[in-house]
Amino acid sequence: MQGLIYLYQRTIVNRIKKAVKKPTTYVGLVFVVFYVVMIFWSFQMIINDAKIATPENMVTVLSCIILSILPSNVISYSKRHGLLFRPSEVHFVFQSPVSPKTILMFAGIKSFAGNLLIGIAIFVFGICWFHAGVGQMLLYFLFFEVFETILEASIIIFCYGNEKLHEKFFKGLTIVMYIFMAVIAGIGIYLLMTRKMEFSVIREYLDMPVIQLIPIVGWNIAVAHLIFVGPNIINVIGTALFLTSTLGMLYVARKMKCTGEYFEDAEKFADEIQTKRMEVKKRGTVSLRFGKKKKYREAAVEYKGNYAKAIYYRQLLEYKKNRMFIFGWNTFMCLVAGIVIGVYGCLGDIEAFGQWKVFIIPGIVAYAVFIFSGYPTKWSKELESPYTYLIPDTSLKKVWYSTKIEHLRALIDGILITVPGAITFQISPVIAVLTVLLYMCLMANRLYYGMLADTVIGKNLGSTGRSLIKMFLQGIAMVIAMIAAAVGYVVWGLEAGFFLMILFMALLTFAGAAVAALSFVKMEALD
Amino acid sequence: MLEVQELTKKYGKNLAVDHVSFAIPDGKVGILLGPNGAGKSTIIKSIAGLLRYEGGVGIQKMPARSLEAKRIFGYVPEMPAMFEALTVREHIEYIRRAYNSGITDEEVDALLKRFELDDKQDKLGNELSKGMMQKVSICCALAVKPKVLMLDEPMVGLDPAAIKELKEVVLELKEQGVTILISTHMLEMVKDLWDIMIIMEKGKIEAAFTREQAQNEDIEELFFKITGGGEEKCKD
Repeated sequence: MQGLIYLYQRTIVNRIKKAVKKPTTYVGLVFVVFYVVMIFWSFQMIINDAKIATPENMVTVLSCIILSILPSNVISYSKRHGLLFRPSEVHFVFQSPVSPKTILMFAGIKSFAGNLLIGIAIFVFGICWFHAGVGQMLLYFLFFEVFETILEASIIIFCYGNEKLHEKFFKGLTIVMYIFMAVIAGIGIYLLMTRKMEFSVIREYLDMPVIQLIPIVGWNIAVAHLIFVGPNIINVIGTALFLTSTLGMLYVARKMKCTGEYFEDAEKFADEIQTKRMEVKKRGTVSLRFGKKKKYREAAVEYKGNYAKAIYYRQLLEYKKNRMFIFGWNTFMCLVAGIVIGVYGCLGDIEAFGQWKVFIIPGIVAYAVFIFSGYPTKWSKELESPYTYLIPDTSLKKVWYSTKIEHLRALIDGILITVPGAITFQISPVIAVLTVLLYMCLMANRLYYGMLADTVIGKNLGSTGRSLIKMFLQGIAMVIAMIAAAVGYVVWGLEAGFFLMILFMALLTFAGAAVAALSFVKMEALD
Repeated sequence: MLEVQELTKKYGKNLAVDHVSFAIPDGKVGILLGPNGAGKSTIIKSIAGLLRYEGGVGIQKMPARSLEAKRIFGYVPEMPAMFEALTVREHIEYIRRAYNSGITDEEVDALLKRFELDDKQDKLGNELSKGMMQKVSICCALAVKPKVLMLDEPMVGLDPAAIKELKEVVLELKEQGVTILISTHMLEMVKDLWDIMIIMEKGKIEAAFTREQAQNEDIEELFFKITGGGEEKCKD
């Protein structure tokens, strides 16, 4: 115990010491304060405009929060993914002579601290937004901090420390929680769709006595009703049941025998999280698969070239082993977007846009490419392999062959997003082809400018800093291309404007790729 | 004393360790050998309490998962992992408090000096190289003042001076009656250290010898005689 207290103390002190020396901490703080103030004012306006600034309506909001958070917590703890242990904790803490339950409680400190922040936020927002009494809010704050924390701690010990109940029990519990959340949300959506899209419908629904009698979750909601609406038979019974069950769970958790069998799952999850952290640190993106190994098909490829070309053929082999080949979520999203644009072309008044209708699809794709961060690609993995640097070929060729498949993917995605709309908008084939080329250019621009930001310019910045730099560079390229398009349109006409836009975008992208090729010169760029 | 009784571990349907039993008495050095995938790491992690398993593990006649056993058990994992925000010295201080080990400041200084970490004691965990992490990991295990010490591939990443120092430490601890189990592939490194050799293959113990039983036979010859790996290598 003494060791754990020391560990947390020193960790916090050292982190603060390190943070105060970094200018980015202050920039981040300003950003956070600005964000909180914006959120505060915008929500206050929304609540006032919707005329729901009463304590009764706050109970509805609290009910929504409880109905989503409590079952989600049970799900994550049942899967033994709710607590994040680091490999260092596996190394040093699991071995130490400390009760495994105490280790769980120390790991839960982050959640409990989160509860404290949520409690403070509810206290402030309850008074400012919903005009609840200070006494009421104080009472709820105390209840929230004491009993919610006891409940969460008990759930943690029950889910992690339980060595008698079979794994199947927790799988079943997870499924039950998912079904519960789906049913509650489903009824809410049904009522909103069949009655009217108003907050009062949700309030009526969540005020129903039956909701307050749902074990644990509903009883928790009953406490909020008792404090803010006043006593009635249902919320008094619900509150009594909640307090009794929470204390009962605490008793069971204390009595439960726990020798530390959860260490195996915690270690496995810690390793997975560490791997994901490294991915985020290196690439800024991460896959969300946990615990399941990816399955591959058997495939073969004929290498039709040497040196840097080998990178392309190796990637092709990897993609052929994928069950979905080069297609993924992005392809699907492009198909959906294409269909939606196509349907809009059928049903909407496209002719109202006049000759500007040709810019609808380019506008949508430019916005999507600019805003979304993109999907994980194979090129960034190339930088992790020493062989990439050792291959005797020029760095520009290595960049090209590492990213060639991404251009093919962009071509297919571009066709999917463009063709349905091109048909229903009755756009000329030349413009349709130019739109696909523009999509390819935009994707290539994002790819190479991302590479530039990741490995050349922003190697000392975090993933957020790198994303901002990438967006800044992309923005500049887009503005230049649009100016070229405008000049081309005024002087020569629509097709020429479109063509100039693509030409400028391609040139700027190539310039970005040429600079980004530096990252393929030496591995140091990655660190 | 370290006792492993009928240890069995399955990963799903895959039987990784199959009813393995052995014991290392006080003041003896056991080495756990075997080719990749033999089940050594699974045994090590089971002894360290990181895995669920069937069977029993005893440390000085106490169940390995008990707090009393943990108090006298030191472990150096294959892959050291440091607390990013703790300095080298703070790692040792954490161990001193967590185990209430009674190691004095002078002893900590001597330990850090011995492993050439005395000038790096203010470095944070995330500033250390892999070799340095391994040294810190070893120092932490020694700071426990263990009665039973388990080392998983302890020489990987260490420089020659640290390997020499580690070997000396093992022999000193042995003199003091500490039980030591080392899992390694580096046969040459442990040839002067071992008292009991356990050779594993496919989750089972293929052979176990004491140094007396081996009659001073070369460790490599003994190993390849059991596993057959050396002969195949020669044929190749």
